[in-house]
Amino acid sequence: MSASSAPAGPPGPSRPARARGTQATTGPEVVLEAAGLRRAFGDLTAVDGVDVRIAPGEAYGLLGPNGAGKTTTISMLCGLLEPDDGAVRVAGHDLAREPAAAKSAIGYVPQEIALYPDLTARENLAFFGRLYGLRGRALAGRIDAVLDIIGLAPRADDRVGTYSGGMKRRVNIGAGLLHEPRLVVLDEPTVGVDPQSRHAILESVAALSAEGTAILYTSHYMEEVERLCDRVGIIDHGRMIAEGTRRELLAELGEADRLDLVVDGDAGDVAEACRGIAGVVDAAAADREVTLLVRHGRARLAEVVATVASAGATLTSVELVEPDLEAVFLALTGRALRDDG
Amino acid sequence: MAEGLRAAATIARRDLRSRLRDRSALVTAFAAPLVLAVILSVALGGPDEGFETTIALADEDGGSLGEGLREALAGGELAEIVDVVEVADAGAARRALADGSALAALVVPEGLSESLASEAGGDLLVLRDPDAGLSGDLATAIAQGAANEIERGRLAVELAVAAGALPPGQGEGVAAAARARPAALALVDDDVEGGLSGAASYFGPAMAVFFVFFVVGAGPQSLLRQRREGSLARLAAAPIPRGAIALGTAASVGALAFLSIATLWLVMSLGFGARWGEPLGVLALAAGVTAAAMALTTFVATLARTEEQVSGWTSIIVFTLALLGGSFGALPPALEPLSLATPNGLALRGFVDLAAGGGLEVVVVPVAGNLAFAAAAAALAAPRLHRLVAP
Ligand SMILES: Nc1ncnc2c1ncn2[C@@H]1O[C@H](COP(=O)(O)OP(=O)(O)OP(=O)(O)O)[C@@H](O)[C@H]1O
Ligand SMILES: [Mg+2]
Repeated sequence: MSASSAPAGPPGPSRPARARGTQATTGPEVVLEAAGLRRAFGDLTAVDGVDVRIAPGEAYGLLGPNGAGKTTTISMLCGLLEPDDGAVRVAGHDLAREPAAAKSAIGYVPQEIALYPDLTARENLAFFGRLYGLRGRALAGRIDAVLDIIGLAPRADDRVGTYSGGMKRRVNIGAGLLHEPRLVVLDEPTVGVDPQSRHAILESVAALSAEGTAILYTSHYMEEVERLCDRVGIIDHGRMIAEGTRRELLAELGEADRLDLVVDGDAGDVAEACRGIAGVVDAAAADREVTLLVRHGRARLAEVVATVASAGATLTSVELVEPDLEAVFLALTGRALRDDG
Repeated sequence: MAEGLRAAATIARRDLRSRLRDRSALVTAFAAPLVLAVILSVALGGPDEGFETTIALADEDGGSLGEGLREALAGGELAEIVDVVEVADAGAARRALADGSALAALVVPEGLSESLASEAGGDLLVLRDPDAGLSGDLATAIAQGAANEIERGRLAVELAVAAGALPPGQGEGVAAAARARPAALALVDDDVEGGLSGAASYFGPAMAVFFVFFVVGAGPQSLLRQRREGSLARLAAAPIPRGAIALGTAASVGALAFLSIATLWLVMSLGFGARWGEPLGVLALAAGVTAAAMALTTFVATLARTEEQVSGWTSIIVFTLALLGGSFGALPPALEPLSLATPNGLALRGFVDLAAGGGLEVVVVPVAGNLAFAAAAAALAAPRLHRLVAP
């Protein structure tokens, strides 16, 4: 968000140019290691046996639809919620046995704007910095540095209650960075944010990652995770259904292409009818949109158009999309990752 | 431990800062109690509506002692607040207490003047209606004061309880309690005030005590709000003990409660001539009622699910306690025992006794009572306390 962190070159957050290939699953050194996390609320098992390992400097994306268990997982990783089962180690400290040491290594950015609207941005940051043991000059220095990162130095002494949604989001992130944590955990940090702020947020996360901070980033925006993250875990109904680099995950699709249709008529019927077409791996309907996973999609296009008509609907638009994590999710679950724009 | 206290201090400072910037918190802590205390004092404390009481005098002796008592009660400031009704004998005095036409009675037994003159000594009886509560206490204190005035040190003053008014045994306690409060007498002569300053001495503490519940009740409510807004999650993710969150919040609202009471004290004293009495006693009473209010409102918050429930329930409970406790005016004598079962009533009893010139000993029972109330409410809240600071 600061001018200094904006890279020259193509627009959009750039993947930091540093050596990749340090994989948490192979390297001996891990910042975060969680095994067998499980948590139920009444009859609902929100998280059901999740494992996560994140290496120093690695950016890990946790991708899943609403209610998949992302926040519940993060809450257990950050010590907010006791797991029913499983263990968490952060920077070598067991979260249950040495909570203070483990928590000190994490910068937590909650899904909500967790700030005090009566206080200025500077006062908010000072407060959270003190909770992590920062005092005096060290604290003041870190506050200035963070204000720079989030690009809010000029408005630092205004009350947060007077900020726009995007500005609040940025302070919300800044409050998790004060103590220079080894791992920053961000829970859907771009929800409800205008495109400009969203871009700035993604930029600053990319910059953090480039500096060697490990990142755990949750989202149901597939593009964000694809751009930012070295490795992705896909979570659904509380279970980790796939994990790997983007390339590894896409490889699971085989040769399939993604076809996005917009129809006038019953999208559910259309999806159902399309499942009968040879080469269609999967089909999901949301609103007026139908997403198909098709082997050799281009060759099947005519048949798809005819099937839409025979299902009693009119085709408004059709698009052949390069395979992405959205398609992976569809292939794994038979459902679209999200039903909003 | 030290780290935890440090975190609690950080949280308390943050909380207090937010509160002092919140207009509705300022109204609750400062503006509303002041305005109400002034309005009630002016409305109910007109020059002629101060404390008044009726004392029955049964002069069976007909000698110089009765004459002296009559003069003491009719002289000086006492004349303005005491009506003396003369009755024939001890029996008539008891009946006057029983039917409420007097709140205390002095009985000079036959021959007492003579036996005193002959150095044989003797008993002057002070009777009180145990159901008359605070008014009875004051009437008794005045009667005792008058007796002391004329026979300082020579007369054994015996407090008896109106016949049949209390079960046997309990009367002893009342008598003992009354004897244990000699300081009230000094004050009776000099300091019992009617009119505006008297009302201000009552309604100042009354409003302070009433609003303290809202001031400290905002603490647990703010925890619920912080949970809804998510900042509690951030506190829970920080390397601090959860207890620091509760402690810091309690310290913040406790400090605001003291500021609120101190402000009322200052303004009512400087602006309206109120005299709250012994400062240490005032502080002790403030601490006791703040503790009770804190524990009670915390208990309420642990039961509720939403902020709306908490503020609704808190308001109902606080208004009920304030009415029973006499915050809006003393209850009829018959209800005064009920009043003393409330933190408000206990504290107010202490404040009234202090204002009447009592020493620190008059706050012992009210403060102990409120601390006991606080302990009971805290014990009820304890099993669910973690819910308040869980994200
Ligand atoms: N405190 C709770 N009590 C009861 N159920 C809960 C609680 N927290 C979460 N759940 C349930 O657990 C499941 C997982 O919720 P969670 O918040 O972890 O999902 P999520 O992946 O973060 O979703 P979103 O993208 O909407 O934030 C949901 O079905 C949710 O309703
Ligand atoms: Mg979530």
